Amino acid sequence: MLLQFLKRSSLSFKLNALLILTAVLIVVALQLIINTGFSSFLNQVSQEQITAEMNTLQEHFGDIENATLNAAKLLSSVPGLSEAIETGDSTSLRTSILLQAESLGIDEVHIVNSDGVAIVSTRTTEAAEAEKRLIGLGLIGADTTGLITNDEALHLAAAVSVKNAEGNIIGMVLTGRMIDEAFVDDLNFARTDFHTAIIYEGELAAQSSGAGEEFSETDEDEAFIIQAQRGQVSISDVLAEDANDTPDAVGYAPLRIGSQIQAVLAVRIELGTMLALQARLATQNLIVVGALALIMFSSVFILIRQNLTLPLLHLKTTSELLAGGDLNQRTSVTSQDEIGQLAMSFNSMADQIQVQLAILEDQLMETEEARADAVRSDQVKSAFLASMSHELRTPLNAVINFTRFVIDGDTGPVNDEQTELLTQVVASARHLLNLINDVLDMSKIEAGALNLFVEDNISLNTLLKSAAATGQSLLVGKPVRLRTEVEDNLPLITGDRQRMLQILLNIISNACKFTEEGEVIIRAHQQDEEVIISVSDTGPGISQEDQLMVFEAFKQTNTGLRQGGGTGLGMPIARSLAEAHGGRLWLESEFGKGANFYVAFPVKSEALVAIMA
Amino acid sequence: MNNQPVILYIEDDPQSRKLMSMLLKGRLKLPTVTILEDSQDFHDHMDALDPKPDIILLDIHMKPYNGFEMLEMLRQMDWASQTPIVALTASVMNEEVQKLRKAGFNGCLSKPIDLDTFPETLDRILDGETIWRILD
Repeated sequence: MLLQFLKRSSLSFKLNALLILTAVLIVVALQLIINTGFSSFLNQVSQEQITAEMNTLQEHFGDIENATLNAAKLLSSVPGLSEAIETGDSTSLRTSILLQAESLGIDEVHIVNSDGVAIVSTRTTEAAEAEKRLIGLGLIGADTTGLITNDEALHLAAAVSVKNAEGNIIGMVLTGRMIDEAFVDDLNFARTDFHTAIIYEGELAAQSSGAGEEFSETDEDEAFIIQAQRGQVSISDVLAEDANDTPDAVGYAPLRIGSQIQAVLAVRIELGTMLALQARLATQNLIVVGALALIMFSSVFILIRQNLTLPLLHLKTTSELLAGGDLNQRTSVTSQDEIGQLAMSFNSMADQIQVQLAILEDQLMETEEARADAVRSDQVKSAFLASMSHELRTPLNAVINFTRFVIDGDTGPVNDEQTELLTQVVASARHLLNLINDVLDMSKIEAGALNLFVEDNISLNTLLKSAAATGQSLLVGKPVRLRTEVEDNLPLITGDRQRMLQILLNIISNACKFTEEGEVIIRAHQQDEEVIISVSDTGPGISQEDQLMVFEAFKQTNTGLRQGGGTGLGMPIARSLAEAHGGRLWLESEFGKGANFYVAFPVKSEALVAIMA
Repeated sequence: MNNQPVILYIEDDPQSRKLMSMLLKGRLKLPTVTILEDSQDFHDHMDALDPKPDIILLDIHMKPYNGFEMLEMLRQMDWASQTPIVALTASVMNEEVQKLRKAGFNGCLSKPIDLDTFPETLDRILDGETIWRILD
């Protein structure tokens, strides 16, 4: 199907299709390369950023830790605190300490004496294990920070000992900041495209306010958290998609307080902006590549059209015009390349054709002129011969017939001697007439001006009867018998009746003239598509050498010369006439044993039928 | 000669006229034979022809009008439209005879004429036969 279609479609279509296909392939390939590169780039960037961010957050967490510790130290040195702890009366100090703590961003304050009895406390429930440990450390004089759970909320706490004037530890101050959303937002510098969370004992303690989706939801998160608790930093290299279908990069790192891993710090970067950037880049690329492809396509299209399609179309049109007969048409040569060479070859071929045709036309014209000349010359010859015939016959009419009138006594009595002489005149005049007829016939034959008057349905039986009668008249007074062995119903022939009779008279009267005794036999029969007539005599016969001369014009055989009659043209004329009928005339003879003349007429000669039509 | 036909012969050669006169008037003793020299002569005597001819013999090489033109002229006349008109000519080549046939002649007798067969041939033509006697 496709192959068939391609065979039928034009060259420019095929080239254009190829061009478009190439352009599409280039665009797809470019897009693939850009996408792959961008993905790995994005991975790398997000990992680096997460690592950097986690360091920053760790540091920031340390700052907050120090601030909590400093707040504890500040509160421990509030004037009158030692006295209040020793007396156990904190009523006068309580309000100022709580106000001060609030101004320092401290959520929880817990002051105990060395016996562990609370002097000032914002806590309502009993201290948990972690807090008790921190309080214990504070009472032995170790300033410590740590995570505690108080009132079911995670706190970052610091414990500082309180000493009296003598330097003895009389109690301690514990300050704590609740790790809640506000805490994490503070830690996270209140950013919205970057989310942070703190995970304590495998559970999410708090996350930044814009995070939306909770950290530690997936199995992978769980695994990362466990790894972080063991001290490893893990960053997802899969761009996990969040609820907004925006890919994220997530990282988990251990959160150390002092040197101990006490929680897990989680960060998440939203990659939406980056992806938007990539999409914009991709669109730009597509536009640029598309524009380049369009320019390339257009240029190649124009190039192909100018250099290939248009010249070929012009060549086609020119060749059609040439074939239509406009030989002056040439195609234009616009380049030196293969197409240009083709055009030049085509033009030189057209030149050759034009030259050859011109030569041919000249030759044709010459031939035509020669033919016209020949026809004119034939017509002139014919007219001359016709005129000769007329001019010679007219006086002979008078000679012969006036003499006859005298002989016949129409003009009065004539004596025997006069009659004999006048009879000689008539005979000579008739001989002269025959000579004239023969010479004119021969001239016509040799001039190619012999025209047959062709008729249908000529009866050979009738012609033979008439010719035999003439032959019989020539045998008067000679001991020669004339016999005919002619088939009764010979086919009717197409030919020139008068000329056919002339042929038959010629060979029959010849036989009768030359035969002194014996017989002359006329035979005729049909054989295939011919009628064959033979005339056999018992005359002197014709020698081998004379047989060659019988049919040559103006040559008479020795016997013929001795007989003293005729022009020697009878046989050549008869043969030419037979051949003009599409027939044949020949003889068989042996000197001293008589002669056989044959003539064959075709029943229907193609050539004669053509003349008649 | 079986009957006594009325004959008109137009011929510009005086010897041929003399010959035919001797034959038709002298030897055959036909009472109504008119022999004219040419088309002018014919025009002058046309109306005087009475009775009208049974057969017309025409020479071909004549001036100013030749035998073919005379034939055409005659065929347009009521009295001659059905009359046998025979060419009597020394031009007996095939192409010439062919022209005679096409022109509508009823026959052709060649010169020199055959005194012995001429009466019989004339009879046959008068009986409606068409004869093209061009060979001696």
